[in-house]
Amino acid sequence: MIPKPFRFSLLSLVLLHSIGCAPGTSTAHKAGAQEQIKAAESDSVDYTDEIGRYVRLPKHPLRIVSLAPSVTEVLYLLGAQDRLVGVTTHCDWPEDAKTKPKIGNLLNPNYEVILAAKPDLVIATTAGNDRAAVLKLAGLGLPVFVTAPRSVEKIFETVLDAGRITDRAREAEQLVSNMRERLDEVRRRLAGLPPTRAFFMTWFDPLLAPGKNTFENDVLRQAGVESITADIEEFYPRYSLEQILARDPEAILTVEHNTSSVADLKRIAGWNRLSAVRKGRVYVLSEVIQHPSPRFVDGVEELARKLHPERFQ
Amino acid sequence: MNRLSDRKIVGKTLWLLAAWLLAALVSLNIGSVSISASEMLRIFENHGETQLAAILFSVRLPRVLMGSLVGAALASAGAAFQSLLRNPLADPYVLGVSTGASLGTILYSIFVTTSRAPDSGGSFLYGRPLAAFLGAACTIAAVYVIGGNPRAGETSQRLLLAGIVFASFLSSINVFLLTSTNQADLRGIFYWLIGDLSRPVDASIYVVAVAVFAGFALLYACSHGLNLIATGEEDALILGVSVPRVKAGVYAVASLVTGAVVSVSGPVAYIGLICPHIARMMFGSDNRILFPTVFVFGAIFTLLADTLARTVLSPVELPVGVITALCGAPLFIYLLHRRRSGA
Amino acid sequence: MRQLHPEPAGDTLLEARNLSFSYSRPVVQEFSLGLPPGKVTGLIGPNGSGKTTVLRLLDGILRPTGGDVLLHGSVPLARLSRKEIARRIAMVPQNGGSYYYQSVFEFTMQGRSPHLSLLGFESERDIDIVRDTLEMTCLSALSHARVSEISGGERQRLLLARALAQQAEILLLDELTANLDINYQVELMRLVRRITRERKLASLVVSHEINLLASFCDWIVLMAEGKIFRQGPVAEAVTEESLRGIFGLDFFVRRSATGPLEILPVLEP
Repeated sequence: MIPKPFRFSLLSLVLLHSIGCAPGTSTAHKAGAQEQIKAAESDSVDYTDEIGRYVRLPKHPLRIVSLAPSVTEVLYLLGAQDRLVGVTTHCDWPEDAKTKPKIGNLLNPNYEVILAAKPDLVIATTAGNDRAAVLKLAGLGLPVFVTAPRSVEKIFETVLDAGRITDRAREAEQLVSNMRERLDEVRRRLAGLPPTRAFFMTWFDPLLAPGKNTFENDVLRQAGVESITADIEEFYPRYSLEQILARDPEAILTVEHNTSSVADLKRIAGWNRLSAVRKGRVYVLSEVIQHPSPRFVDGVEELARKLHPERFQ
Repeated sequence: MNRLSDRKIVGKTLWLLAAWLLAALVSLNIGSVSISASEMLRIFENHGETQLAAILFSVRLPRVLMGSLVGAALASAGAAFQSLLRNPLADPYVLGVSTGASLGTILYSIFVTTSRAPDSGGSFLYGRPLAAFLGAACTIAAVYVIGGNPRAGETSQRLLLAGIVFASFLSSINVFLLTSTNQADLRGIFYWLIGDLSRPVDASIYVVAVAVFAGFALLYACSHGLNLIATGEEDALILGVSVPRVKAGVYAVASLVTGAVVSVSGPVAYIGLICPHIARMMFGSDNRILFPTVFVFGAIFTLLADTLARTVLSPVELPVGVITALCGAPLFIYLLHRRRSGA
Repeated sequence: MRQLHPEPAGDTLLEARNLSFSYSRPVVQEFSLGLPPGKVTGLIGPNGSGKTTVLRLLDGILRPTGGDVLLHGSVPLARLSRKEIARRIAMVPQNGGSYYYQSVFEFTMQGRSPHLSLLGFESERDIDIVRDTLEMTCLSALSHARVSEISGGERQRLLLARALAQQAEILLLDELTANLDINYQVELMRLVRRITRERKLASLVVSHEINLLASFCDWIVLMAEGKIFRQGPVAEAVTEESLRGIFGLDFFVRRSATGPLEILPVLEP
């Protein structure tokens, strides 16, 4: 039982609280209301995405869907993976990404599954996604941010944008400066060397190579490599062995999935006449060098090390 | 009197061979790098190790030869089928051979990319043509079993129907496989499916050459029999042709020859359909002169188409099938028009 | 039904011994006939009586389900290749094939195929034979005409010319005179009889024209429902009774001692 002298103060406190006049409650209440109003005003932020679209995104997205492996990789590198609720079947890095729910593949996102996941942010990329599919998602009312990492500089931009829209701006800046440092280090180590003329084989059969405005050729430049197909207007032209013979590059570069194709170049008519093949300067690189994500820096380092091992002792 | 004599046949064929030689020289000349005739002579004399020599010997020459073989094979197989089925719209693919080869190629590509065999060594180059040929051979056998060798007097309708049904069935399987697997891995298939001569030529060219020439010799041996069969199968029997044997033989040989080249280049369109008609217009319908002339003409036609495919959008190379289809269709319409207005 | 078998003469060029053939039901049964050299044999019967099938069996196009076809009384047809058969037996089929690009001369030259090499290149002798054959069948003027451009009657003569060019010793003619004018009918039958006698061929003529057969044949076979109803020399086998037996119709047969038979169907007024 409450003692007699406290009964009145308790009762008055309760009464005062109930009409909001208790000391301390009024300011607390006012501050809460103000916060609520501020929150209502700044719940979402307006952005222009990397293809010039005007989008309104939530300030703190909690359910993110990635439509491409490069996007997934960026999100993991920024530490935003806990909020990732949907990835593509192609997303295989890191291992954890494979455990996330699947929402379709690069060219065919499954609209129903994406809608069912109730994302508050969908990130797509021009490097791999089908434009029509992405715009359809936007048309269905989903907030879609499209990135366009077409060159090395653009990747930095993409990382920063990704950080900004997922509440990880600080981590993004850190990541970008780290990337720039590593690229500068490679440039420093290769200082004084003339650029290596090389042919980058995107695919063996059909023979595809990267053209002028591709990401690959920009990345190759970071490792001191001048691609012989960098002057072709088309994105990924079907090249001919004749052209390669005519230009006779110093080295031939390709990625893992072409390993079996290039294993036997010495035995194939025409290829065996290239000086690069004869001197054994055929290099198979990890596929990361083609990824429009921060991992490409690993590829640059790998390439530089393979081409000029003496500079990396 | 315009009698057909062996002298006439040899004469016309030699003319065409000369034309082929000219086409080959032109084809060797043109490309991303132009190699003039004098440079060619110099290369032949010195046998130099220059890049020009590499381009000429390792890339262009094999391609010219392979293109000629493919064209010759498809054209003569087309002429044989048109005669056998007594149908001017027949081509080497009408009985499903190319669809079977496509299935073989697609299955092989899926197998290779899913198993991701690292360093599978030299088997890579031979694997796909072999798989394609197996697909073609199985299809030939299956269509023959289903359609049967018709008894003399029956039309080849059952065989044709079996071929068409099989081709469309296999085609739907192909489409299913293409759409349900990872698209990126099957990129190369699309070029092959149109008909493409840009794959590096390896020792398989010898096998193909033997198949094409041996097949042609066998077909030519049946040319007179086919002439008589065209008059009527009962008439041919009465005149001493073993009609069931000739039909089975022509069907098998023409299909196998088609399968052999399609395994390497893919089903190049229109050669087997158009070249026999053009050759017929120039040399007549008697198979004894038609077969050898269409053989060489097919080689010339394909060679020129491939040269165009290589150069028209340089440095990008088009597959030869695109050119033959683009040129073949209007050409065929023109031929039909001429026929209707009473040639 | 009385059947008259010919004496198994040692010199029949072609002989059918107890032939039978059936698809799902029997088409020809117990058919025995000998074709001696220098004689024209006629074969008549209603539609569906199996006449064309008999010809096909005799030429080896169809394999009999029972019985044999023998050359020179001893060599079974089944043992010979198609080309060997074609050198000895020539046939004019009922629906002579389709033609497109050949000339009359080239078409007739096809008849020489059984005697030519694999690729069918002809020699001077072959050309002479074809020329003579075209003269015999009165087609010389049309030598260079395209087959598709000549008349139906001329095409019939052309089919005969092709068969004659085969220079075979046995001639099988299926409805040779079907669409011809009467003068050509007579002329072709005269030609057939003359060549048969001159070259000692064995000829078998299938026709619907009973009068024609009666006038030109030495031996006649009447067939009904796949079996031989009556066969024998014309004067003996062609009777009102036998004709009624195969056609189910009354006929009026008038015979004179020296002249040909006249056969007319009796029509109710």
